[in-house]
Amino acid sequence: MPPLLLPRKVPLTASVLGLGSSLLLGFVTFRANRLAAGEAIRLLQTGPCGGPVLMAAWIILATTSILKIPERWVNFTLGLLPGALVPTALKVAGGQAERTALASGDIARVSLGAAFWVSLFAAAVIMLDAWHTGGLRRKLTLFSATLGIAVTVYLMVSGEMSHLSILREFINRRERFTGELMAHLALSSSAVGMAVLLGLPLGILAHRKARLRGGAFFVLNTLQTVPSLALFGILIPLLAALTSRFPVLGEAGIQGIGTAPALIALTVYSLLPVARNTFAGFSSVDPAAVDAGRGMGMTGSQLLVRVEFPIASPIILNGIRVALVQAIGLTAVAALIGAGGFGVFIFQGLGQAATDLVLLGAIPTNLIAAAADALLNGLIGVANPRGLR
Amino acid sequence: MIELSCVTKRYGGVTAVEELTVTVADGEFAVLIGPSGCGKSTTLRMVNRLVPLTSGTIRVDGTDVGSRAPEQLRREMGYVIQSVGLFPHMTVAGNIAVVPSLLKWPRQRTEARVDELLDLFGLDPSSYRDKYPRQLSGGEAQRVGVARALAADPSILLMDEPFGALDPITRETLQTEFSRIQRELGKTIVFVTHDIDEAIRLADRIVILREGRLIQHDTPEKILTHPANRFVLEFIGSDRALKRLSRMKTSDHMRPTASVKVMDSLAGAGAIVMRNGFAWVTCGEGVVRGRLDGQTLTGGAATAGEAMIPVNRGLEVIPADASLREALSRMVQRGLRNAPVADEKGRLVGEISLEDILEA
Ligand SMILES: Nc1ncnc2c1ncn2[C@@H]1O[C@H](COP(=O)(O)OP(=O)(O)OP(=O)(O)O)[C@@H](O)[C@H]1O
Ligand SMILES: [Mg+2]
Repeated sequence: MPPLLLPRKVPLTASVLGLGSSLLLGFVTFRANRLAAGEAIRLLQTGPCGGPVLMAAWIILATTSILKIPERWVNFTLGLLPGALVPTALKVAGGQAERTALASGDIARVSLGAAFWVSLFAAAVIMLDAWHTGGLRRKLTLFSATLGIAVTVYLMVSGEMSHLSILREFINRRERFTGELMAHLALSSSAVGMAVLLGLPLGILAHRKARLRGGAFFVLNTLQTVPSLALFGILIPLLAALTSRFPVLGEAGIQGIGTAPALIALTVYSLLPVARNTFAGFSSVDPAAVDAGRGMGMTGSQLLVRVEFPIASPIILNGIRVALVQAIGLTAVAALIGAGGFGVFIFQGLGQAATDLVLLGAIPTNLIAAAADALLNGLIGVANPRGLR
Repeated sequence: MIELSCVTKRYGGVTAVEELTVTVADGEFAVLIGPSGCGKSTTLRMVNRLVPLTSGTIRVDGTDVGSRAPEQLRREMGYVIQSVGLFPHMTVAGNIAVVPSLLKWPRQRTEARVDELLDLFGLDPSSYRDKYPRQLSGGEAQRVGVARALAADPSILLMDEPFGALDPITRETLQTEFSRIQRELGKTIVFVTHDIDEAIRLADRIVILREGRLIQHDTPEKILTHPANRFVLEFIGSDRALKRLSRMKTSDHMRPTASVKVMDSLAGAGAIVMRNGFAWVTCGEGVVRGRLDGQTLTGGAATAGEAMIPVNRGLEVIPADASLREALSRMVQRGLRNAPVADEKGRLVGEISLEDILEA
């Protein structure tokens, strides 16, 4: 007799996780007002039909993951369901928030609970696994994820979710949000821009001059180990002292707190990955190719532009990618010294013990970091010369 | 013409090249040879100014290279190295087009030149043009390396152990191919190797260096017959007599020979055999078929063709363009004192004997 069970470990674990958390943990948290203690509401305690639908989805995913059924069915279920599950979960939470608002008035808050986040995570795991499985399941996942994201964005924008606490925080700070988004993007990208301007020549120099190499990388490595808060802390008095000594700096907008020390610190942190990868990229060029290029009459700059840089570019771009993702994360910390950015919401929220305000800062920070990561990875794919792949 | 006079190169305390004076004539194939570290690469790289001289002068066509812009100078000379150094991110065509693009050739001219060179090196342009270096075998990569150096049709070619990294069979193929190409192109070549057989096979003149000093500069024949000292003697090895033979072409040392036709009557053929001791038997177009000597005449045969001892065409007929070393090898192998020499169509053009080879 053929075996009845054929466990697919990853989707099975993930769907059991989703199912279990939905049964045991709070799906949304109810608060009588913004700062009151929370009360967990489990999935099945939410509205009339949303809860059972989500539960059913998890049960279908779990059984599909374990039964020996035709691969096509498995592909359809594991490929399509997780993408649909995410906006559904959001809709369930939003609906609950709306009902609560009607029942308990506008000061009551409903925020997303542990079970919601665990479900989101579990769905993402199944999608990633499907992506790596490839074939039909990958295509279906791509389709359902795109659709899921579109519906999620629609739900957020259309106002259907506007009773959820995190969106209430957002609506209260709509103008502020755009401003901090811009500040965050500007600060992290200009820091990485500075790091590229400084790190490229530094990396090339380290490659050319062996004597410089040890010292430069020792300094950069050491700086990298300084905790970001400490570095900000050091820069504040340093810049303050400088501006009081040279008032012209102050007139130019440089202060002990604010953008200037943040930009300096972030540039310093971004310098190591850029310089190190530039060095590694240039070192990866076969010395014979350089010798041949010189022997054929290339000038130093022709050699750089036509030979060394194209060969090194994928490695350099990878360094920029690391620097950018890191800088976007660190920019959140820079809010502490008044540099703005999404860190503002995070630290305000921490101060007020308002979790949803923290999330309003943390979630977009993660999203733009992921977007930067994907963007640079795409760029690396394009820049990678065909002969090197 | 390349003239090195009193060229010295020191690296700190190490003298890589000392007081070297050598002239390479136009169209000459000069081979620099010597033990590892004797300064061959240094000498070569001083010619295109990749290495600055400590003292002395190098003139190319009468102009001191020190007075030329290095990049300009290098674009007028081809440069090939052992490790090939193809650019991995460029296609074969892109690699070959490097110097033309530095010289800003129009695209059509460059493309035509690339195809012409690929053809010259036996690489089908349509299938090799767009390949990347990592898709090539060692031999193909090295062909592209040499083609790249020839791209802008320089009159001088500098080659630093170009075939050094190849297996013996590929190396020999490339050597043969390259001597053919060189016969067509007639470049002035400075070629570095530490393989004496390669030097003897390719060189018009050999420059033997030791610890940066010139030991002997002569034709391969002279070096083999009159080595300047014990060092050269040891360097060229105990089989120098054989090496010398490898430089000589059979057609230059063969002598005219007597032949009869297959259909000739034995009586008429007999007269020729009596006069010469033996005669080669050929068919209508002059292709060697067999051999007649005194003993074969005594049978009852009517024609030369019936009486002859057949000759094995593959093993016992020496091609006219074979080296004497190869001729000797075949004759020793088959136990022959003399052998017929034939052109590429197998037609008898002469004969060669052991005595001829010993006297060569
Ligand atoms: N850049 C350099 N710095 C210091 N010494 C060098 C340098 N280049 C070469 N030398 C020294 O000069 C001498 C000659 O070197 P060169 O490379 O010309 O030898 P070669 O004859 O080409 O040897 P090989 O057959 O091993 O390639 C060697 O002793 C070498 O160590
Ligand atoms: Mg060398």
